[in-house]
Amino acid sequence: MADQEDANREANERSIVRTWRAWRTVHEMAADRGYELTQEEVNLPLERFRDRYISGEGTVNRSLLKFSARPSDDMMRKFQKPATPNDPSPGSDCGTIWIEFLDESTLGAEQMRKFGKFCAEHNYAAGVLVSNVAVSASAKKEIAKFAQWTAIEWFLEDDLLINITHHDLVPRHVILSREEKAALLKRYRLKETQLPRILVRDPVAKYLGMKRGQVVKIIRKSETAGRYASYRLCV
Amino acid sequence: MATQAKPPPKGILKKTKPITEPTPEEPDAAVKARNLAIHHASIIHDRRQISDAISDSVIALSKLPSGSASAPPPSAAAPSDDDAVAFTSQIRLFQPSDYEDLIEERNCLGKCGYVLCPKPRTKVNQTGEFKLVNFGRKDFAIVPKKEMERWCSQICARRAMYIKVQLNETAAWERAGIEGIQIELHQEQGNSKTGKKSNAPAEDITRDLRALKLEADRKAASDARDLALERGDTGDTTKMRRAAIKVREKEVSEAPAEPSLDQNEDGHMLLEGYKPKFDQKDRVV
Repeated sequence: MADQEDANREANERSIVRTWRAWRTVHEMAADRGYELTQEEVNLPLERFRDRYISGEGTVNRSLLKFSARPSDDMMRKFQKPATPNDPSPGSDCGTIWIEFLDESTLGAEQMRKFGKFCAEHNYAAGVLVSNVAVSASAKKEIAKFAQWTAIEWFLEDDLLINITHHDLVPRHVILSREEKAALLKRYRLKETQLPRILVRDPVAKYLGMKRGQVVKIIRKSETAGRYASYRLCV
Repeated sequence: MATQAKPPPKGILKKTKPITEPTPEEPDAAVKARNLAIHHASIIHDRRQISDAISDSVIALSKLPSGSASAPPPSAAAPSDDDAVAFTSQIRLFQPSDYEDLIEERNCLGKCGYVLCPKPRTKVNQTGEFKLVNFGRKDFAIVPKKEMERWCSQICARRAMYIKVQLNETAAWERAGIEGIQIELHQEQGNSKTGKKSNAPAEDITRDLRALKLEADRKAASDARDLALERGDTGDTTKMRRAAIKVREKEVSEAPAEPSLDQNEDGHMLLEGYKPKFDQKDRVV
């Protein structure tokens, strides 16, 4: 009996630590994308996480794990839409993001639809759903249906246990703005398609929330040149 | 001053008419283009609606069979009529790939892949990709673990696959209007042994007849389409060419007579009423 309790507690403890790590990575991800988050929110210690999000039975209360973040002014400026004669001061591509941990044990089309509806109704430009279970094919199809209103992304909690961009072998990735991309193509006299490519499902591209057609600047260390930049088009 | 008076240099090239730009204010062309655009947009709209309906049914069917705590859902062998009708009517437009999605969706919810089965799917408690089933027996097989975990039992797998083989690969919007497409549930052995045995042959016959009729309908439709293509008709029936046909009866004044051989004995020599003058005997070699 005592053994089983111990085992239960240990399993709970493990799940708490995992969720906390995913929670921290998600915050780092939002901050790296350019959303406004305080340092305190990003570096939430495990003790504080325990105080806030643990229910009476010692398990994580996942229904509390949700937050929204506003894009910073820099980010708004960077992803400004191009001005046209009809619309001299267009808005930005990015908007408030909604991040939520799935509270249910399954992630089917219905849950995804609910999440998409929620994001669309509350005018969130992007929504991130973190689940600890795999998603079904029809749920992925639901994502495309909401593309017009909100950009839905989903992550597996297992993939967020560590922040991949902090790894030694992952170079710095910077998304270029529209003007920067145009300047790059002009400078090198390239067409878009002549750039090297990066997949939209690439882990770093997913981390940065890249969309098709954006160009990312990858800054690597070089023994001879100090730094070496290469550019990749997201496909 | 002198330059002003000078006429512009004459080109040596042939004079060509300036290309007249299509005038946008041609009302007829604009209306035509608009109608065409609306026509195509409505086609796309209809297709979207059908695919939305399919994903709605995936969600609805993933929750079947319906039941409550007081009245647990009946087994897959004898499903309730409401569930069976809902299933067979909604599955009609599915492609096999949509059906696979439905099975995956149900598995995601922890249920058996067969829509009318209330049991949870099996969990194989072993690591490894494959599992041996029926070891030491005639129907021994090595089955991927994933495939095993989709169903609650072999019979449910068979029932689900029986549905799948009836589904059609053609796009849903091409089949939406055809009422003849009906999906049959797997015939249960237990049922045919008991009360339903008496009407089983009748059911078989009706099913065969329906299949025949469906086949004939399809054949007729495709024949008509081919014929229309041969005539040069477009699919648009409203614009089909219509010729005014007047039926004029020929007046008959005398009773018909039997054909008779000509009185002229040279009749067989005539070529279109003309007797050639060439004589074989006169021929000089």
